[in-house]
Amino acid sequence: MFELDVVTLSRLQFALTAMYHFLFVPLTLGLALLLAIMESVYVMTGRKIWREATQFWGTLFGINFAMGVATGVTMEFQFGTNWAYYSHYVGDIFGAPLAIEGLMAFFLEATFVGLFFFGWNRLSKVQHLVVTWLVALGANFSALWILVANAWMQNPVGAAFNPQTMRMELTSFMEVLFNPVAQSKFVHTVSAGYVTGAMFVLSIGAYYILRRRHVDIARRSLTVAASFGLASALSVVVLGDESGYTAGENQKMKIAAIEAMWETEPPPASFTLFGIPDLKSETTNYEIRIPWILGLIATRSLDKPVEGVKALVERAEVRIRNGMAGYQWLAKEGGHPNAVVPPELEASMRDVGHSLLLKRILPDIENATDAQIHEAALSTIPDVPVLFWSFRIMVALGFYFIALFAVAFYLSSRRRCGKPWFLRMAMYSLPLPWVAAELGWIVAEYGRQPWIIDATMPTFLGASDVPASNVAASLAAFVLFYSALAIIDVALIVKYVRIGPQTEPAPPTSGAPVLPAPAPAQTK
Amino acid sequence: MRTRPLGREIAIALAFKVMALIALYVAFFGPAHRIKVTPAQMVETLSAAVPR
Repeated sequence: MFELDVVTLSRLQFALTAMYHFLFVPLTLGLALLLAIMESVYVMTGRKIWREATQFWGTLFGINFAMGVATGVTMEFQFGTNWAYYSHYVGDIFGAPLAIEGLMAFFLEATFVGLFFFGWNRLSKVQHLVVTWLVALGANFSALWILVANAWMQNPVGAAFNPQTMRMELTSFMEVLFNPVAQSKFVHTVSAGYVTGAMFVLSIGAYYILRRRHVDIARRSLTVAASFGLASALSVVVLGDESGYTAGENQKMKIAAIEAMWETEPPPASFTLFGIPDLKSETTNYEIRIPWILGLIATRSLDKPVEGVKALVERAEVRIRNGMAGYQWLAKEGGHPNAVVPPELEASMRDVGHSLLLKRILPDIENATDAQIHEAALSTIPDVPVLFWSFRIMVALGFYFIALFAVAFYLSSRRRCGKPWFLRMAMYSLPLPWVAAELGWIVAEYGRQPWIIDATMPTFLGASDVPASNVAASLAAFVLFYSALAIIDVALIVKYVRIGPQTEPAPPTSGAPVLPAPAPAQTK
Repeated sequence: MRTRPLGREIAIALAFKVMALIALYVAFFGPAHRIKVTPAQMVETLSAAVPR
């Protein structure tokens, strides 16, 4: 059972707001690019139906954007109140990409979204197309900066601890920006967004074809979504593999927990396709394993081992002991204007984060017994069953998306996408990309525990000293606020999907033709 | 034809959202609720006698 202390409540509140915010983000990322593709076809072919398709999907994009915008601001509210120690400790590094993300989202993205909606009759075709592409680029760039900030929490590079200010300070912005975790996380996340956008168009297009409404626009939209979705679904799996590799390099415990791999495997490590992790006996029952795969994912080799949970706990014990001298020095000298880490303690200072894990067990950590150090080392294991299953469901969904979009691509290329079984399958698959994306974040963030900054600061030390009742009250207010927003959002999207695209009236079939019939020579 | 009712609905939803965000900020996250941490407080937290 959860103990509802201030740390747990603050974590719950942040998780709720982040997960809610991420319901909007992937659709914005994916749909923005699909709008740009559809409008490009309109500009290249001059066919009005593509303009109508762009405007229809643009309406749904607008509802999603308007409902989603600023839902992430509440996370920033929380840094100053619920996570004051975290904000002090890393504000120097974390603040910069967060500020750039805010500027990108509010100025670049929002400005061009405005031009997209109000510019149809004010800009030329090409100018409007440029605006639509800038909406897509703006959305992707703002995602980049927030993922740079998040990746720093997973792999804190380009920073050094200053004992005088008692905070991490930026040493290399380029290292933070080109953090390998940030790069792999960015491409994996945006391609997951593209899959979400493609599934949204595919599902709603399928709904229209099944109902025999707006069939022309639906068929064209479905064709674009099928090809774009197939490319994105393939990318999301390939780029997810890169995320697995960076985690294998930097967050070995996360990989071991995802795999429920208790013992270090001799190379090349096998991948557990299925199993039932048993925490008490530290074994995984009924395992079905695929040889070599984990070795290839996590180490890109056949001769390097992938360390298991038990070996990593032993290593954490060593680091806890090693960091204790640094901790004692820091408790005495930290915060003084002239504090400088003595050279003999530099190695110990690198492991102070680990020794801080003891603070949850006893106040004076210099007196920790072997059993208490072992207990602190065991706390470095994240929740194995949650990670094991979240990861597997996410990956299974990833392969399902490839299969679904491949079928859609095949059928639409043969102009046979009207098959009812396929249309129903596409329609009912609508929520699945969101499920996969949220599970991905659970793997990334829950898998980082017990750290708020990997191997540097335990989560419980980042939370503020505020009454738990305060956090509980704001959490309840958030639940009410976000529930109301979710209802409005779904109601608006359903309403405008039911209304459907606005098409120009068909030319009259009788009476005088609008244009004179072309001469035979012109027809030829 | 459609943009007018949709524009109005979105404007109402955005107005509700802005008001709710301001209310949340004032009630729970404004300057009065924010905690300023100094280096000395950081040391105090790390060496506190009671586990957090």
